[in-house]
Amino acid sequence: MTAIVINTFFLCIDYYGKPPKLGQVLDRANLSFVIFFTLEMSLKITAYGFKYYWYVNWNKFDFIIVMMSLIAMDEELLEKLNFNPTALRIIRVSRLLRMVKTSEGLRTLLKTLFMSLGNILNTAALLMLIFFTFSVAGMGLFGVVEDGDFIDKNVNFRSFYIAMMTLSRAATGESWNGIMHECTNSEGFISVAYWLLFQLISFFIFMNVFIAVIGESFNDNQATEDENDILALKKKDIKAF
Amino acid sequence: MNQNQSLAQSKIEDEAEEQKGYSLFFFAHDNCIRVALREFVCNSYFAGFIYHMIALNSLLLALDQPQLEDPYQRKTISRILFIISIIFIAEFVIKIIVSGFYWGGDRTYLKDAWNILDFMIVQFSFLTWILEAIAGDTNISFIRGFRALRALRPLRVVSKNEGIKTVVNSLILSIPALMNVLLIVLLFLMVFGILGIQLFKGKLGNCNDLDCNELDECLVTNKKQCIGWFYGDIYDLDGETIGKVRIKREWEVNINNYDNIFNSMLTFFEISTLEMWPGMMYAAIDGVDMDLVPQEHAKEWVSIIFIVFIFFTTFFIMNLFISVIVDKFNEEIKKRQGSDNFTDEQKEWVKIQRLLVHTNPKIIPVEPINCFRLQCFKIV
Repeated sequence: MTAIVINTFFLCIDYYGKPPKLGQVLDRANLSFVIFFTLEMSLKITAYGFKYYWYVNWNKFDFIIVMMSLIAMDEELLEKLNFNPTALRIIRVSRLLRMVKTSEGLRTLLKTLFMSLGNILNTAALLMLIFFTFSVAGMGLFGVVEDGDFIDKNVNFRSFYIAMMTLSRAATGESWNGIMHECTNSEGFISVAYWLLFQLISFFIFMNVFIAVIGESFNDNQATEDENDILALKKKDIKAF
Repeated sequence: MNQNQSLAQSKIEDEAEEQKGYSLFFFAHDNCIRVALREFVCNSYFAGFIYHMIALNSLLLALDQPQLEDPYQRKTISRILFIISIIFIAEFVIKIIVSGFYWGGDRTYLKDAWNILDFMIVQFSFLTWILEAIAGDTNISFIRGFRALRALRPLRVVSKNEGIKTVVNSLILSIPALMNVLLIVLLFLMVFGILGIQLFKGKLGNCNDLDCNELDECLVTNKKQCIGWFYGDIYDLDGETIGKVRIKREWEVNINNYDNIFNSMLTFFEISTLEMWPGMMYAAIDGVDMDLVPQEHAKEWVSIIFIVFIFFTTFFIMNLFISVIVDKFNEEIKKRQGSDNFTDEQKEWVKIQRLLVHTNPKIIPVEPINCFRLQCFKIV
């Protein structure tokens, strides 16, 4: 645990334009952390035996991270294999996630996120579909709108990608009304209808649906835990069984 | 394979059982065309084909961007889109022959809510063709608005995907409750909109000639004086004056104004999303009187109206939105899972079942016999 915190500290120290000496120290620190975690892992494996070790999900997570960092150690080899080591360096950061398992509350939150993933993905897919619809409609309607204060080379409906970007930023509310007024100037009333409908669907309804989905699975999770307390007796029976 | 065939066969028979009577007042339920088409529709390849057509259509719609200059590409895309439209129309015709349009039986085409969406899409493509044929020029704003409705086509995927369908269904079922919230929002917008007209109508206009002397006495003080020409400064890229130019005086009205109920309500709606509201508030504060040039901080008490409005709408009603959606959405999901009308014992049973699933027995590791391993075990 302390090792994880210290490791985090060392990861935070890194900055652009650091003196080479600090870089060396950091590299050494990284090396020692990898060794430390590898030792911890091998200790656990020898103690529990691999079968039991592998049974706990968090141990699997630890195992994968340690293996990845071991691979990332040898950067020259990776370069020979034409593989970008940056991707593996990101894995160093994922060591921080190990902190989650130390606290019950954090674990509950993570579990909630995990459980609501299915519904969230469905909602996100629907939102994407609606974005798609609106951006295709937007390309048809506002594709020819001239540049102005708000509509410029980054915000317009001239191509599908940029239209999607425009809509995503409008969905977070960022100066949507400015864009609307400029579309209204050239296209008339239809732009007001378009933008009001879009705001209503994306900003007012969908952002709240996300809240609803997460809240639901959080409640579910919480309820399961309450039940665990209430049905402790039954649980004992089950365990005895 | 054999089982699949018999399954498909039974599905066809089920459908046939449901579809007794004449479709379109013409095809009897054992009419040979209808039977053949029924087998065609129930074929799983048919649904897959339509699904792929929707995907292809979506892809083409994304590619058909206004930036596209190459006439050859434009033509190809519009031709393929035309073919896909015809395929959709053919699908629609086949389906209504098989299951009937609306009358007769409970399983006719339009009795399924998802089919209504398909039907509307088909109609829109018809209407667009008719309008284009009449008007000829495809660049009129109205026709472009109509053509934009083809963007609805990708939404057909919704009816083919179970997961998304659940979300949409619960959203649709929460619409009545949402409507109530919307009505309240509209009421508030109306009240403040009317207030906006009475307080600020005509006050937000300004002349483009802002020439004032040091005592704040301006050359132009109202709309009537805002005629003729004046000499304005020209600036270079760094914002420094490099000369004068003759400009026509014009009376400009702020785009967020309160001159009629529509504009007024729209402005207040924009304020309720908190987007650029301080600017709109200061513009209203500066307004002096109808057709007069605004002065800074003319009526500072006006800000209270905006703050009260934001308090009521953003902090209050928008949260109503959240609670209504959260509430209804979860209710619908619960209903669909069927846990709504359980007795207490049934709920108990479900809980225990769930517990059984969630309980993963903790494995208590056995102390190893090997002495080295024992040392490791103790450290851990």
